[in-house]
Amino acid sequence: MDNSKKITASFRDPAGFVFLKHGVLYRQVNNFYARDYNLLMQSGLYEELAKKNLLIAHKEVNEAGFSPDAYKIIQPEFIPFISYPYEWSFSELKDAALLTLRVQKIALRFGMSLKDASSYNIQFKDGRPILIDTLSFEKYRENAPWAAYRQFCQHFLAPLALMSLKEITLNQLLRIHIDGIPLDLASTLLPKRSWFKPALFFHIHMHAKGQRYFSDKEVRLESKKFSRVSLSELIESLRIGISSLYWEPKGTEWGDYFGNTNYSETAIEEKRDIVSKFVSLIQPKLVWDVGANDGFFSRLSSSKNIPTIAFDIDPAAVEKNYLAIKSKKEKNLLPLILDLTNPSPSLGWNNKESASLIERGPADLALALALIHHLAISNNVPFSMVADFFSKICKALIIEFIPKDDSQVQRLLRNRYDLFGSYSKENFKEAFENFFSIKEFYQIPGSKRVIYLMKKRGQ
Amino acid sequence: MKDDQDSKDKIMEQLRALGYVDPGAGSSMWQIMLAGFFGVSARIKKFFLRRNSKDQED
Repeated sequence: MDNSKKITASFRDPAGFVFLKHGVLYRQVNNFYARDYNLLMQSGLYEELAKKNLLIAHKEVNEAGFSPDAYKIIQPEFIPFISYPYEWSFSELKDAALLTLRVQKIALRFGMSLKDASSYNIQFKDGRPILIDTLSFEKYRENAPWAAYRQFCQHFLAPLALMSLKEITLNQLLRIHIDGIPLDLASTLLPKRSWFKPALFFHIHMHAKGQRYFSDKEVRLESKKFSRVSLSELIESLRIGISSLYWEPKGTEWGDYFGNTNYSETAIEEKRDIVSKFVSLIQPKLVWDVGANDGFFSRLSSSKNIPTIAFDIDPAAVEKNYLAIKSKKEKNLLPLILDLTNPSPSLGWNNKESASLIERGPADLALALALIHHLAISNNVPFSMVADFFSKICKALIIEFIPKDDSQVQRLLRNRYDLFGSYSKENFKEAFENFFSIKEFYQIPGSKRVIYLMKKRGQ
Repeated sequence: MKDDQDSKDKIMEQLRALGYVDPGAGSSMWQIMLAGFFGVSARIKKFFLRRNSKDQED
């Protein structure tokens, strides 16, 4: 089929898959799933979920199928950026979990049930989570246990419990365990006090023991019954358990970042104005703000209705940003956790199930404000390699150069030997001009910091 | 169908002998064991809901 490309991440589901054709994303519904798809559409469940923005809306189109077993082709609404659970903050993962349970609860009312509860089926759109896998529903089978129970516990409950009760960065285990954190591992890692939390006692600790106990037993489920009332209670118990998990961001390196900078209020305003002007000059359709902290500068583009991704290494900064987006009902801004020196790799089968950061680019514009000294000095990345990296992730770049005598750079050098003789504005410009052409620059009054607007060569 | 089930069972038996844990089956059985608990909890909730609504009526 010409100009069509199957998205390999969706290969596991016999119900269908997504593919790209002429840059447009479609989902093929296979004959195998026809009965459940019709039930989803005719029972009123789809309408109910789409109306509440819980499930991605789609339209049925007359495109030819990607393969002969196509039943229908649907075109889902566009999501500007695909993110993964190991990039989400605590509250982003928690909201994704609560959304999954809410969808399951509604589905049961319409005689359907989620057959999987993967966190990869959730994306963020307009500042809130949404289920994107239209083919996740099946007809509810009377007296059957919830097929997605284990997956829900591994993808949501276990990482949230570990983040809340043990260590916030343990969501990174989701990078290693692509089908969620194994419950026996979570049970081992969780502190003793977690045994006194009913949801964690039942759904992680005893669940893990149950898995172990039944692993060498012959299990005949046909004769066992799990009533609809019990299923509803199970969902409610998980909802209460998830809702009771909290994480309070505090004491991080960026906690009071703006209080620690050497910027005066006027200089911050000058910087904001010049970044805003540069953004308007580029007119991007997608912006990545790398090292975004709480998203102060990201909002210069998101407030112009430009989808903006605010990356930061600090889970607390990302959490604060997300909570602000929620409380102000902001759209177009998605905060994500990302260590630029170790960005998300491609993962899963054949390295094709989740895409690396670079594969999800390039963005039309990247912002790299007050970042270069962290890469070049804290992490010893040469300017040439920083420039090379940015040339892969964006078509245009707004980057701030922080000179060596700046108090923030001096702070980084305070407790280490100065190996950075080549850290100068001239070397910075030379390295970046190999990949970008400098269109404009502006020195911030009262400081030696310079903000550059660059465009990738050949664009 | 029966042959399929038999060969699947045989493979599972061999895998278990190698230490393989089938977490899916264990999860389903654990849910069924929980069903009794959730059934009782649903009845208790129902009892209190009824009692509260009766109190309000009174």
